Order: sequence, then structure tokens, then C-alpha cells
Amino acid sequence: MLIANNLCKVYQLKERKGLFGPKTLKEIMAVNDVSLEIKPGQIIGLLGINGAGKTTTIKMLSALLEPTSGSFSINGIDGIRYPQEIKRIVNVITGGERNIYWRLTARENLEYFASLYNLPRHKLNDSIDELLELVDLKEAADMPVERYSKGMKQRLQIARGLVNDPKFLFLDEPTLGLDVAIAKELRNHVRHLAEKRNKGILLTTHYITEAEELCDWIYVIDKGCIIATGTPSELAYSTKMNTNILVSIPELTSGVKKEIYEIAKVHQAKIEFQENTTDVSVSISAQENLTGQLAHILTSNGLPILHLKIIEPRLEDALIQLSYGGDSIERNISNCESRSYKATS
Amino acid sequence: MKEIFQIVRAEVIKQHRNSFHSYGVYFTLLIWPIVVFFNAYYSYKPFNLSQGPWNTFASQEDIIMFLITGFLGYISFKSLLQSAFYMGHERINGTLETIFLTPANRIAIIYGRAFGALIENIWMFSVFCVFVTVWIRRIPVESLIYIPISFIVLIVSAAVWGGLMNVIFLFSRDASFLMAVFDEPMILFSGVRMPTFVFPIWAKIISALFPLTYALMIVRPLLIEGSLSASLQGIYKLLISLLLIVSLTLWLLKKAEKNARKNGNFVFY
Amino acid sequence: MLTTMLATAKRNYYIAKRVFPWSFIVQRIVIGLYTVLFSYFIYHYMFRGYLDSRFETYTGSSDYITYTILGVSLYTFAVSTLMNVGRSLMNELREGTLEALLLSPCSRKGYFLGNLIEQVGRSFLEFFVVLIVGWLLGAKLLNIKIEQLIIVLILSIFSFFSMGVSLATVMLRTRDTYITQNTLFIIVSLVCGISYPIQYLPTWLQVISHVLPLTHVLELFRKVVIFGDLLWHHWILIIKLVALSLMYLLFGFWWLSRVEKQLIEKTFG
Repeated sequence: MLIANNLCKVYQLKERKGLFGPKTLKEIMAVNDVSLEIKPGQIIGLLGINGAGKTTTIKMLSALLEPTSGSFSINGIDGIRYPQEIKRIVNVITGGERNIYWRLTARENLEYFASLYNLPRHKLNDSIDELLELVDLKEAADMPVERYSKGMKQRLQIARGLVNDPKFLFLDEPTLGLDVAIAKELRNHVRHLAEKRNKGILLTTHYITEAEELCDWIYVIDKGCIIATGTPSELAYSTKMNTNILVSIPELTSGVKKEIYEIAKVHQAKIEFQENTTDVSVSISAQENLTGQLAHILTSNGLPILHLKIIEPRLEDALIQLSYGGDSIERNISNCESRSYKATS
Repeated sequence: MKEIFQIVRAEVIKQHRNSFHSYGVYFTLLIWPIVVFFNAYYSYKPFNLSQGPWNTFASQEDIIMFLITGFLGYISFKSLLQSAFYMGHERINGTLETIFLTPANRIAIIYGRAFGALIENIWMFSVFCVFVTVWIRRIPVESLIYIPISFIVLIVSAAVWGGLMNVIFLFSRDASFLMAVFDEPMILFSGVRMPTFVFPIWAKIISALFPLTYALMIVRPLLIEGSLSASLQGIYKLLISLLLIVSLTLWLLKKAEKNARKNGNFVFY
Repeated sequence: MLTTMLATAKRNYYIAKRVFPWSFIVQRIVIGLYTVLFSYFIYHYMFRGYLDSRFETYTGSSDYITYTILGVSLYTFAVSTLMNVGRSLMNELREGTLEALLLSPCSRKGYFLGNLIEQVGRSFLEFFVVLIVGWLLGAKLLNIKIEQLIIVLILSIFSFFSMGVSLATVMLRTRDTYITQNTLFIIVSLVCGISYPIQYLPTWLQVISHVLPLTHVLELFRKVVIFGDLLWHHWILIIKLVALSLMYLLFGFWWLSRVEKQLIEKTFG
């Protein structure tokens, strides 16, 4: 289990005005009081726009960076005291085509990195074969990486990230720049790693669909602070985004109209009626899902429902709202006092 | 210890696979040094060997032997400077960070890189040197034993130097300045092309900063005169120098890593 | 041609103003200075001024220090001009602007001249830094006839420019700058008589010396500076130099047009 408590990271930037001007120290709070938990077999999402502090968080959790304050432990090992021990049981996979040697083959890359993890030599070849099989690079294993396609390079990155059989895996925007099909394939890999191999996975991404599809739990980070947490659907609802219902019925009596207005009043919903040539369409937008109540009114008045469409709030909209304002949610980034908005639906 | 050996081995293999692959290396590691060696040889031509205060060189062969040993030492040291220079590429490619993501022993990586580059880089020029020495028939049979000893002295001292270079390049942004600072002065002040004992005192002080100076003090008497006793005085100087360099390397490495953990990069200033 | 020339010069000027090419300039100056320093050391400390008798026969003078310092400073000037002109097309290729250049009907002569003009100031700076340090170390430069010197410098710019055009084509053909330029410079410093007269070299190497314009420019430069000669006394040498440079220039442009065609076929085919 990975537990991080109140992690903070302050970068000090030295700036110089002109060539010989005085140096000024500028402090940047990259991560501010982040706490999170990852259990084995779980996929946890860390969502945020660029510069939100995702990568810095990952670097701290992988012991590359020392937190300015706060603490974390992985399987009971104190991450700040024993960075080398942490490095043995975690690994990071970054999106893009860097971080591997292009002039080496896949096998040579893996041999090298495996050696840095001090894998015994007799085990090394077997586990490399296994990894190559896993990421489906067995046939291209002895070809220099520079001849690989983007997707192959990305798969090799995954194999590299698994070379020490980490207990926890941090994926930093792994699908960045990949085309749809390859990204999907990669997501399947990730799910497999969590479900079948029981790895705890932290995934940062700004593709919302990816988080919606994969994550069991999501932390939304913005300007270094966790501003919301929850399951993907909880988050979507919790941001007080509206559910839209579109119904078409053959006709609309004034009685029905009145009843609909009444529930709208109770739930502060927005209503629109539109009379078409053959039918009437009703659209209701409210924070709660009013489908049941609406259906009840219609059926009890003997009105058949010709067409029904429910548009539920999406995580993407929630994230945009969370990151770019939206007054409906309480957020206080400047001092992060109400630092996490816990979803409770 | 086994762990360190494994990492050194992995670094050596990686370097071989990653950088020793193009025709370019035949230029940088064989043709250029040979041409520069001849350039140095002809630089002696305008002078009168029999006059002057030192009488170091009795013949043209003496000059060739002096220069060839000097250049062999220089190539060993210089090739490590170059491989350290490539550390910058690893930073840009992101592989440096991937290395630091692993728990691998940092010292092993630093020296692994140095050894990896060294053996790779000097064998061609060494063959040339052996060829030249055999051709001018200068090595007496009884001092053949000194050839492996000299190689060991050069390799060990160059690797220690290379470790320091690796650490320096680990946290410097613009390394090309450092190339200028270390490369050219080393040729002049370490006595690659000219014996250091003729130097004025200020130049001798600068010479003392380069371990190559001492390595050549040991290797030259061994190979040119076949004299073990003459080389002995260089040995303790070399040992002290290497010891100082290793401590400096370890101290800088610690500092660099601490800095990296704090600021997220290996850049110091 | 004029528009292209001015446009290119202006663009390069803006680039140099934003990102001043310090590291190359410092490197060339450092190499020049250390070569000068080596000459000083070997002359004063190693041989205490005892020269080989042939030196005076070959050069007509016994002033070794002035001889080498003139050689090294003009060599630095040559290397600087050759690099700036020679690397121009490869820089375009690396930045991805070469296609745009090849597609335009602009004058290639104008393009290269623009490159040349923009960098002349910087090359002169490097030249004078080495020359002035050399003067401090004892080179005799004060009885120079300025107008003669200016003509020699113009001739040298012309000959380096001509070689630069050919070099640019070679670099574009081989898609390489590092190996090509350094191989050239190392050979030039061996055979062009920078710090020793070429007569010391074996005959077959002297043949190479004669096809490199720097050898002839250097001879003129030394005649003017060391002996205070008037240029028209050496009109045969000047004709040789101009003819040789023209050959490089014409060959360079002719070959460039062919390489360009191949390149366009590869890029757009």
C-alpha cells in the first residue's frame, strides 16, 4: 500500500536580471499538501491540466525528488528515509519516445536497465523474454529502437517500466501523442497489470476518457493542490453539473405541463418545451437525475414516451469546471485550506 | 561488490552498443590522433636537438617514443572527456533520469561509464603505438613486461579522471566550455608534447593538477628506458593525485545527487 | 544576388545577436592560444632558442616566434571563416529551412556572400586576439605596412571563402559537420606550414600543401609582415593563389548544384 501524507514541493528558482544583475530567489510551490493512497491492484488517476503538479508528485513518489515537507511510505517503507529501497519497488513509465536508447535493440535496452536493478543474470534472460512477450515485441526484439514505430517504442517503455517487477507503477501521461488504436491497446495493458498482476498504478493523464475508463479513484490536482477526489462518476456528479433529459411525447396537456413545472421548481431545474409538427419535446436540466419522476408524470397521465435521451454529466466537463473556475464549487486554491472537496454522493 | 561489478559490466556493454557503431569513430579515435601525433613530431623539426640545455632527445626515434607515449596517455584521458561530454545527450534523451530512477549504485555508474569508454576508445590507437614502436625497434625485449604494467597505470588513472569528468558533466549545462578548459591545457601542461621538467615553476604548478602528468612520469621511463627505478618517483605522486580526485569525485557526486533530489535536475548553477 | 546577400547577412546578424556563438569562438581562440603557448614553451624553455640550421634556409629568417604566431593566427582566421561559411547549409538542413531555401530561386552566390559578410567581424576578432597575445609573447609585428596587410587579408578572405563553398557542399553531401570539418582542420594544420616550414615534410605531403590555399596565403602574409615585402614582388604567388581559390569556388558551386538536385529528388520524390 502506498500512502502519501501532505506532500509539498517548493522549487527555488534563481533568476538573474541581465547578464550580471543581482540574483533573486523565486519560490514556486509545485505541489501543495497532496495526500493520496494507492492499494495493490488499484488504478488511481491523478488528473489535472499542464503544470498542475502531476509530474512533480510522481517524481516525489518515485524518490527522484525529495519533498519539501510531508511524508510517504510504500509497503511500510519510509520513502524519505530510504529512497533506494523505494526505487527497488516502484517504476515510472513516461509517455513519448524518450527515456530509452534508440541505438540499442529492445532486448539490449532491457538487459541494461535490468542490470541496474541488479537482477541476477540467470533470471535476467527469462524475465526479459517474458516482458517482450507481454508487450508483444518479441519479433522486433533484436532490431534497433530507432526503427520502431511510436507505438512500439511506447510498448518498450512499458516493458522497461516492468523490468524490476515493481509493486507500484507510475504512468506519466503514457498515451501522449499515440493514435486512438494504440492508446486503447495500451489501456488494456494497464488494466491487465492492475487486475492480473495486482500492481498498484498511479496514472496521470489529461485524456479524460482514459481516466473514466480505467481509474477506480481519481484525484484532481490543480496548481499543486488536490481540489477534488472521488470515483469518476462521483466526481462528475459532485461538481454540480446538470443531467439533461430529453423526452418526446405526442402531445402536451396543460395539466402535465403544470406537474412538470412543479417538480422543476422543487429541484431548481431548467425546463424547455418545444412543439414540433408531430410531437412535443421536453428538455429538463437539473443536478439530480429527474428521469424517474418525469416518467412517472407522463405514464400516469397516459402519455407514451416516444423518445428518451439522458445526458449524464461527464468527467471532462467536471474537470474543465474544476480547473478553469466555475463558481459552483467551493475551492480555495490560494491557501488550500479547504483542500479537498470530498465527493459524497 | 558483485552488484557494482554487474553495473559496470552493463555500462560497458551499453556504451559499446550505443556509441561504437559508425565510421566516425575511426576518424576521432584513430586518424585524428595519428595526424596530430605527426604534427607534434614535425613541430620539433625546427630545433637543434644536439644544442640546448636539456639533451633529452638524442635522436628522432627518441622524439617519436616520447610523443607516442604522451599521445597514448592523452588519448586515454581525452576519450573519457568526450564520453563524459555525451552525458549531456543522456540528459536530453531522458535516459539519465531513467538511470537515476533505479537504485543502482551511482559510483558504479560513474566509473562504469569511464571504463566502458576507455577500453573502447584506446585500443585502435594502442595498436598504432605498438606498431610504431616495433617499427623503430625501440622497446628492449627485457622491458616487454612493462607494456602491460604501463597499460594498467594508464587505464586506472584515466578511469579515475573519467569518473571526475562524468560527475562534472553530470551537473553542468554548457559542457563545451569545460572541454576547452580541460582538453587543450592538458596537452600542454601534462607534458604530452614536451617534458614538464623544462617548465617554469608556474607552469609546473598547473601540471601538478593533471594526473596525466604523473601517469606519464611512470609510463615513459618504463617504456622508453625500461627502467623501473626511474618510474618509482612518479608512483606515489600519482597515487596521491588519484586519491584526491576520487575523493573530489565522491564529494561532488553526493552534492549533485542531493541537488537533484532537491531541485529535480542535475544543474548546479 | 545583392538582395539575397543582404537578406542572408541580416538574418544571420539577428540570430547572432540573440544567441551569440560563444562556445565556438572561445574554442577556436583557446586552441589558437595554446598552440601559440606551445611554440613559446618549446622555443624558450625546451631549446632555449637553438634552432635547426635548415629553419633559416627554408624561411629566410631566424625569428621562430613571429613565424609560428603569424601561422597560428591566420590558421585561426581560416578555421573561423571556413566553419561559418562551410556549416551554413548544414545549419539550414538541421533547422529544417533548407527546403525553403532550395525551393527559392535565390542566388547561391548571394547566399554564401551574405554568410561570409556577417561573420567577418567575428573572425577578425579571433584573428586579432591570437595575434595580440602572440605580440605580447614576443612576435615582431610593428613594421607592418598597413595597405599591404589589408590586401593580404582580402586575398585570404577570398581564398577561405572559396574553400568554404566547397566545404559546404561536402558537408551537405556527407550530412556531417563534425567529422568533415575537424578532419580538414587537422590535415591543414599538419601540411600548411603553420608552425614549421613545409619543407620538413615528406614530398608527397608537400603536394597536398600546395593544393591548399592557406599554404600560399600564409607565405604571402609572412613575406609582408616579417620582411616588409611589397606584394607586387610576389605576383606569381598571388596569381597561383587566386587561380587555386577560383578552382575551389567554381568546383564548389558546380558540385553544389548537383548535390542540390539529388537532395530535392530525395526530399520531394
